Amino acid sequence: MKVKISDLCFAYGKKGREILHGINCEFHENSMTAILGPNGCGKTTLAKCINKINIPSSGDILFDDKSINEYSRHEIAKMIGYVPQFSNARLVGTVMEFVLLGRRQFIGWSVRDEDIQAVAEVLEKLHISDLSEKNYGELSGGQKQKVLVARALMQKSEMYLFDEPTSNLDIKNELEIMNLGRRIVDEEGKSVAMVVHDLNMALHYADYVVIMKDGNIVKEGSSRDVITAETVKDVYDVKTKIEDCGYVNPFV
Amino acid sequence: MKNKEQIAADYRKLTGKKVRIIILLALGLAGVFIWGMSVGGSDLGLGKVFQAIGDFFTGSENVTTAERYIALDIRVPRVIAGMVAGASLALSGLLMQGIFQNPLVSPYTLGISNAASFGACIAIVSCTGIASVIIQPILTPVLAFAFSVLAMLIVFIIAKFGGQSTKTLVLTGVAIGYLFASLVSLIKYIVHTDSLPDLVYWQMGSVANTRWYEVYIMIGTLAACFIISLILAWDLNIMTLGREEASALGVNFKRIQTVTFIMTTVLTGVTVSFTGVIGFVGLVAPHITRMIVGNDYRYCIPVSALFGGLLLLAADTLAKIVIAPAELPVGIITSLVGVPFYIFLVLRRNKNV
Repeated sequence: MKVKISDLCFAYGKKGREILHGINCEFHENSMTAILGPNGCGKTTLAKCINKINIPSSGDILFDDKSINEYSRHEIAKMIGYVPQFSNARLVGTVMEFVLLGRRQFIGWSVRDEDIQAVAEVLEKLHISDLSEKNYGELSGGQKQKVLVARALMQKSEMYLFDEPTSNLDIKNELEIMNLGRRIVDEEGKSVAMVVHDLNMALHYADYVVIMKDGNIVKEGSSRDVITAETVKDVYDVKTKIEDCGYVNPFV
Repeated sequence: MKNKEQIAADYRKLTGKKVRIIILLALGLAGVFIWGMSVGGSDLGLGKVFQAIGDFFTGSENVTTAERYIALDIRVPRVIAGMVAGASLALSGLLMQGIFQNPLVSPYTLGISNAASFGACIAIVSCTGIASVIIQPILTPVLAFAFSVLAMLIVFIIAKFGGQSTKTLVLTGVAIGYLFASLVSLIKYIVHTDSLPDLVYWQMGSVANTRWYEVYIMIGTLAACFIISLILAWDLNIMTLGREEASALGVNFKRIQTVTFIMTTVLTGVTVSFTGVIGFVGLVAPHITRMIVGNDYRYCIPVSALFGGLLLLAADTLAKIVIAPAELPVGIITSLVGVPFYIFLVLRRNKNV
């Protein structure tokens, strides 16, 4: 699914401070796009606009050339699987019950065997099947993050929106989630948009990069074109050197 | 690592346990129901009560008119009212805790009880002489209900201006509650002392002397809200994730919040108008429910309703026994019995974790 954002502005409340100032960018079909930028630049706000959690003050978002306003919340949930930075969930039950919620669009009133099988498959895929009957509230930060990914995968959507899915993960789990994102694109032919902080991860895994600063898009394009020493200096005010160290992609 | 079959088996095992708990609670409630029917101010035994019920259906006359009156117009409506009021308060509390993502809210947190008390207060102090016998029994619940709905409307309208966030709703509700509480105090302060005992008694809550039409209204309200909330069970599950995640999963947060808000208002409003303020059940029954069956609303709703009914009915039956032939207000018993039991469960749960 192709997502095109045009002149998108967003502010909290009618008189609130504007967070996004006329964003124009595109998320390509069958590809992984990394959303980069310093803290507080509006990455999460943008992600929430794409997901219709935030309603923009002006501008439009097109899913395959059809405006977001023409889709119901229910339809958007079928199109976009969302992994928030963290969950505000309270009063939730076991991991199994928590992940089942992601299947809301497919589930009847009672839980059928195929629903349980679908959850079990995803838990296995993410190597967290041992947690199935644990209480979500008792998990570690990293485990919670993987469970959130599992819940989003249950949405079986055409696009996945990951908001810093690896911020609490160790390097092994981080690579696992990044590889998973890659597989969603390469094997299932879907698209992934991922808010990340690690420039190397973006260079290594993403096909495209959108880089933001102060609620604006600074640059977008293929990851190699966008992540340059000049852009990093301009956006983060950090001096870097990008080196080719024999791998497929260079390192910052 | 567990495999798929083990995961499925674990889940099925847990749901099986939940179903068994529902059956057990239903049996327990039936037991307490029969116990409740056997106890009362007169020494009418259980056999006679059953005979009176049998007479009602068959048209025969095995009991005297007085016995029939005691059985069918005092005992039976009282136990049904106790059960239904308990279930309604528990369901209302469960729904509120879910949509507000806050385990500390209860049907009374949003000021419903204070608003209802104010309505009852006006009815009680304005009816004097003959009016207090004829008009007051009808005017009290009507005004109590009207004011609880009015209070919730005020809360909802104010919260709407504040973006209808759950925090604004709870805070506005608490504030409106205080407003009505001080209005009640004001009336108590200036009114003639003759009406005060009636008002104090009403505020303590009781299911005694419940009339059949009141029972019918309570059953109708409970049945409607019970069915609607069961239909919405999955959406209610998702609502506990908060607005953003619920929206991302395709749930219309505001719509479900509004429907649930209306249900809790009507449930609590109807119950409180007929029974007065019976505390604790609405806070604790949902809590205990979550401890024993977790947070899946498909199971929480029936368990909470059954448990609330059981708790209030058992408390009301004890209220009839403890200082017989006199009676204690049921609200006192629900707290006296409920608090230690609740603390016991909290401690036991912490030990297990």
